[in-house]
Amino acid sequence: MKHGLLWFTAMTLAALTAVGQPEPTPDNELRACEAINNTSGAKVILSQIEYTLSDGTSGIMTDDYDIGIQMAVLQALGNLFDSDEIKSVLCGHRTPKSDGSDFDDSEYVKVLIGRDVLMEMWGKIRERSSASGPSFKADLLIMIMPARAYRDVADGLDFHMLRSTIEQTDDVEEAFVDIAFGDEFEAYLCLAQALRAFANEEFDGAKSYVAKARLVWQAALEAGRLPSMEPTSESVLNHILNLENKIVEAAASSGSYSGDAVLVNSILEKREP
Amino acid sequence: MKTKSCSTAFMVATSTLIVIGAAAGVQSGELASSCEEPLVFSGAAVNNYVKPFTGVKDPTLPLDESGRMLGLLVLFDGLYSQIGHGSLGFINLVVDPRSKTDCSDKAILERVMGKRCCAKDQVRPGHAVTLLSGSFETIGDDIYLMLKVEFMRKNVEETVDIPLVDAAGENQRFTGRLPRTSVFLTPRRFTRVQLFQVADAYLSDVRLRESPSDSVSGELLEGNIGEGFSFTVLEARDDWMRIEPWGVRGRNRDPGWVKIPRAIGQANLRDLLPGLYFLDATAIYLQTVVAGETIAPGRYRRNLRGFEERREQFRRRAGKGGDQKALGLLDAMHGFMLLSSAQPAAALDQAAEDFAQAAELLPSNTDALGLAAISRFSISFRDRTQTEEFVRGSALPELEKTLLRIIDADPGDFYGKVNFERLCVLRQQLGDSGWETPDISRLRERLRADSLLLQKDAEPFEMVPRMEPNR
Repeated sequence: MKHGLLWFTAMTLAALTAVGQPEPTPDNELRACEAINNTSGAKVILSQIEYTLSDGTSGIMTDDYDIGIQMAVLQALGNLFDSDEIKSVLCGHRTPKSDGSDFDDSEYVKVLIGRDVLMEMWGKIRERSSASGPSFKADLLIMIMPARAYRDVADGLDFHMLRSTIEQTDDVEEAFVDIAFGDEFEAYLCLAQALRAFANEEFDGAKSYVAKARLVWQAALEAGRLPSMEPTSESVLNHILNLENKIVEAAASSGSYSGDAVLVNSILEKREP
Repeated sequence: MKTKSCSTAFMVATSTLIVIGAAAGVQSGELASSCEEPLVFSGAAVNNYVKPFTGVKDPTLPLDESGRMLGLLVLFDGLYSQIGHGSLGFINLVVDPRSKTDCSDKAILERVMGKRCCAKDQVRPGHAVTLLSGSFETIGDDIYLMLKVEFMRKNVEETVDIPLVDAAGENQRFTGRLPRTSVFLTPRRFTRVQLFQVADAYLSDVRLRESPSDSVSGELLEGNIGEGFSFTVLEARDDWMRIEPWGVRGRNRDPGWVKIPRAIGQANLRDLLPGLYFLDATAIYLQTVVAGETIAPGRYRRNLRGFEERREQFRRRAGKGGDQKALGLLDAMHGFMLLSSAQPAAALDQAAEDFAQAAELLPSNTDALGLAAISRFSISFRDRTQTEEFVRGSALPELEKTLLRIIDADPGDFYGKVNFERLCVLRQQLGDSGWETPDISRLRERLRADSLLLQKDAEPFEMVPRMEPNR
């Protein structure tokens, strides 16, 4: 699907929704998207993508861009979970801060978790002029909500917010949509599910999801398919491996675990120490 | 674009129910096909259902004209694809968005499989269905569409035996499962104008003629489509098809010939929706595995060639995301078709390449990883020169590690457990030593105690006892 710069330009012209919104506090943020309250079940929130053109004009992406990214997310969810049990929710007026500090408020995060929010995505696009014509820098932010909420469960593993940066692209909206087609998106969803299950002491479910996240991440890392990101893709892999160990350790010490994961991991460890 | 014929086609496209049947032995009867009481061509090897697309923003809203037209075009595309005749049914389902009846994909599949009331007939055991659905949205002149394809056979799981061949021709086996039975394809965007051009090419001047010749005038079909229309494909010859038309109350005219419109070359729905190549290939795969060992060699070769052509067409047009997963699935299906041939052992190398490709495209799918690992192992086993050397080598421990990782990543993976046990038995037979640690013994006991494992497949624990040590 090659949309190109023309589509982007047409879209931004059509989407000149002024950025004149209430002060973005957590309360306002929740009110800014009723769909979070109205959509039952687990969900991924697609929040505001803000753009700034080189002449200083700014606005938020709407309509066709929203549909493009929502469909991309829907296909990722459908292919990963084989059903429509997890939904994507458009929240074009939610504006989390770019440093993720909104989510430092644990009560706010608790509310989002209570509403079964697995992940939130938002971002910024900036146009830059150069001799060869305009180019764009796109920053996409992803908050893995259970990773933020259950930092204690994950023993301080700090990979709840990930930032993917796409530099020097002339096809910026496609770059954003592509994030949802990428391996990393699948891994984030698996991590969110793993942490949710871990917090509920569903060890087999947690182990299964984190193992799938590892498989995807390792394959993408080896093939060089991951975008530039913070934290780095190598450190995310280490987090995944640490989380996997923590789940097995917790299962082993729980006293009630009856699955095979502890035994299988013990065999694997002894086979390749 | 020819404005007049386009508008005619558009009128046709927005008419009511279309049912196209291509099933040998279809008798007659009520052909209206609501999702509550879906039509089944019980004689067809594969029944292909097209469900009305639903809106992304509000799935309960009725479709606009473009959405309804797309469903119709997909149906005609299935007819024009010439993927076979005499064993395919095409059914356009009608879903009333205001109805409270459960018309989810799952409910529809359960109805036609006879697991839920009230399909008009049932798919026969071993026979297959495909269900095409989609999410649709129009914004201005742009149309966004994401297709989902789901398929299944009645009472049959999509598995394949991967042979372990020894010098005496004794076969043992591992078993692999198809990685998926549904896929969401990469969303596509196109314009209304493009859609109308396709409608023009597909639906204008479609005539039923007495013989396969342009010089015979024939009767225009499009005027009858709105009445409720279906047909059985009796024969295909080049770009002509002999069909037997059916109306809502049964056969309503004599059989005749329909020519695939030449204009499709200029405005093909597949340029807008490459996922239709995937759907075709899936239907060919299903026809082949439904026929199983009874398939004639000539038909098998035609099916394999047809599948490969569609897979290549799809590969050339595949996008990122879902299309790549669909490609991985097609690679696995190709391996299954090769191993379902009369001489599966001879097809092992090519099938292993397919499975390796599938695993690369589906890295988190344990079925794909399993297929790649056991086919690779099977080749090593076949090519061994000295059993002692083979036992000392890396093939056995590598397969063990992969199978353990599969059990680890998917505790519910039945075939991962079965194959692990088969590997253990094989190691015993080969005289391998030192591998069965107390932990491995405990794991084997646990896997054996898994009631589901014993209930579903006792066979893996009764391996062929004798094996030649060397080739």
